[in-house]
Amino acid sequence: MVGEPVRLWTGLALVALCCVLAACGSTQQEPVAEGCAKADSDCVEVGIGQPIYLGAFLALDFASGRDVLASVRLALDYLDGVFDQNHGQLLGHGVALVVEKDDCSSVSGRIGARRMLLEQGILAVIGPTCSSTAFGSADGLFSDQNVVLISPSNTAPGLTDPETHQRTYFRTAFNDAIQGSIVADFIFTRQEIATAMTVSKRDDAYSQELADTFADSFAKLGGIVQKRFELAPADSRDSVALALKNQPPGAIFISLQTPDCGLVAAAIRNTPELADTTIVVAESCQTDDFIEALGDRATGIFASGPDFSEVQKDSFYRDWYLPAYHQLTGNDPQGVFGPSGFDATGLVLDAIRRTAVELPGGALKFSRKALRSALLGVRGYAGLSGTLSCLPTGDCSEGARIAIYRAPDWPITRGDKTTPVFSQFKTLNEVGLAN
Amino acid sequence: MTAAAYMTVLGSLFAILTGFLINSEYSTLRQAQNLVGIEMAGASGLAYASASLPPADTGLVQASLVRYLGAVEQSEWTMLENDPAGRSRAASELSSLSRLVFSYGPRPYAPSVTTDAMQTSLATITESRRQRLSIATVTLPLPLFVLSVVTGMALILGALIVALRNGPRYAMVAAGIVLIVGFDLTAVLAISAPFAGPFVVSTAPIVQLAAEITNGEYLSWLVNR
Repeated sequence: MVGEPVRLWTGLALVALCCVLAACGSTQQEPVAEGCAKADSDCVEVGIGQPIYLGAFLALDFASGRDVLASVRLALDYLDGVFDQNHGQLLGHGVALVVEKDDCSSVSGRIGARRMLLEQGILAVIGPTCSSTAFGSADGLFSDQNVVLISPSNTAPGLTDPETHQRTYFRTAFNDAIQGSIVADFIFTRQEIATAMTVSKRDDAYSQELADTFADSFAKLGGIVQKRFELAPADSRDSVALALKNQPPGAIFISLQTPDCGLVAAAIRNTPELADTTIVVAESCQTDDFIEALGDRATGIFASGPDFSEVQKDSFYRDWYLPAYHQLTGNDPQGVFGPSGFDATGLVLDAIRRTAVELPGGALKFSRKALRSALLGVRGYAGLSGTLSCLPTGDCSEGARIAIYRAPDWPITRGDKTTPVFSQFKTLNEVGLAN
Repeated sequence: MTAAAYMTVLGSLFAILTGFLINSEYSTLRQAQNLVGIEMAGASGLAYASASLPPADTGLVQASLVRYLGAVEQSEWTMLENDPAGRSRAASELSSLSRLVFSYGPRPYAPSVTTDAMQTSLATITESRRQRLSIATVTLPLPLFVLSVVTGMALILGALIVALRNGPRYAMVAAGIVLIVGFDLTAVLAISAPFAGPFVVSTAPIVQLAAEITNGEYLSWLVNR
């Protein structure tokens, strides 16, 4: 038999226990801030009222560089959900764009990268425009400082080759292994031309690697690459035509930048012995300047590049982005990498949102390593330029639809009225770059 | 004997009154917690629906939603505790979120299924927030509480009289009654306001959802989450 006082105290103890348990139940879990936990070189702090700094390393002398700069500005403008030509805010902070000029050489890559790295707070850099600026130059310098470099227009395969890839380098542009392969398919299979030659620029990563991938693919299909012409800076642009007129190939693939490609193509067109030779230029020549320089002689010249008929099906691009682009620049896109630029900026902004650690008062802290990891987590980002998935090698465009256009019906001259004469989609797997 | 007889009546009355109050106030607390759950379900639905927009828009909607959730967690509870009729930062964040969500309605690239789902989810958030704010203004029924206090005091008085008349053996019983009355009345006060005091509506679901959205759980383009 239990005594009354014992029962009473047991009851009181139970009441007290219930109160304690209930109090424990209402305890809230504190969120655990992840990311940059301490002040070291990996960390970037954005103080209260300070802007988030992004870099743009672009060749503003080229249409593709200007095009990408406009698209980067549009992406920042769209941070408030409307294109009103005013940058929106990101996590309560403004975004400042530090623009550095890319002169399309490894020297300019080193100089530009060092200048940008002096800006301690730059979180990520969009660019560079030219592969030669990045390859073995800017990509390594940015990587040494853990700064993400994401290019919307670098296409040289070597930049994302596991042997030479720098860990903070990414690109939203397609890999030229795909472009080279599709151009080879077009010439050999569609045009039924069995002999070809390439014209590239010596010591230019973009130009030489694209010529290499084309030549490899063409040879694999059974074609014969008669000659690989490498232009040195001192060479006359007529030298290609002069060298070939006695043994004209079925097709010439020119992987040069403007204005060189225009000059070489004009010289070939001016040579009667090469009148029947098919000329295909790469996407870097797909510019208004090329068409203007050649005039009527441009007619019939093929150009490879991203299939704009796919991009133009996108309602956001057609009805929202293009009018805003026109309002910002006063003209239509002059290059082919604008959508890739918008996507590159979008990926960076998304990674910034996901990795920011908010400090009391509204300051932000970022870990550069976390920013890179955030990009590596991207799979199936439905961008303007296509679906993007960032691989450890830095390629975010796993596949690309490359089209061949016949001048004067190039997208940059005819806009959405252009119909490609050939279009093919290939993935990195299909061109032997499986990851 | 008289005091003992009164104690039975007072004890029963006290138990009924405080039982009713505790039950009533606990129901209010639970209701407020359920409303937070409904609000978070709406927020979660909005985050999912926004994933069907182009990525630039998905990021904007989710960032705006996270700002709203942060404002609710950081400022709304404080406001509801101190001045339930006041205006917290969450109100302006919800206003921004609403403007953003409704701006997608007429945009040609935004699928109507997506914009409809976003607007429905937003309506859920808005309605449940308004109900939550209404609950915060509901106060403890004062007459009933005063009656409970009076009854409790009378019960304690009766217990003391019994203890004094019947010796130290009953002092323990009197002390126990004092404690029970104290605990009971404290419990009533503790749960009487869902957003103030030791028993408040938990903000854990809000914090958790905000963290999930920030970490990209609601983005269609992420792996290794």
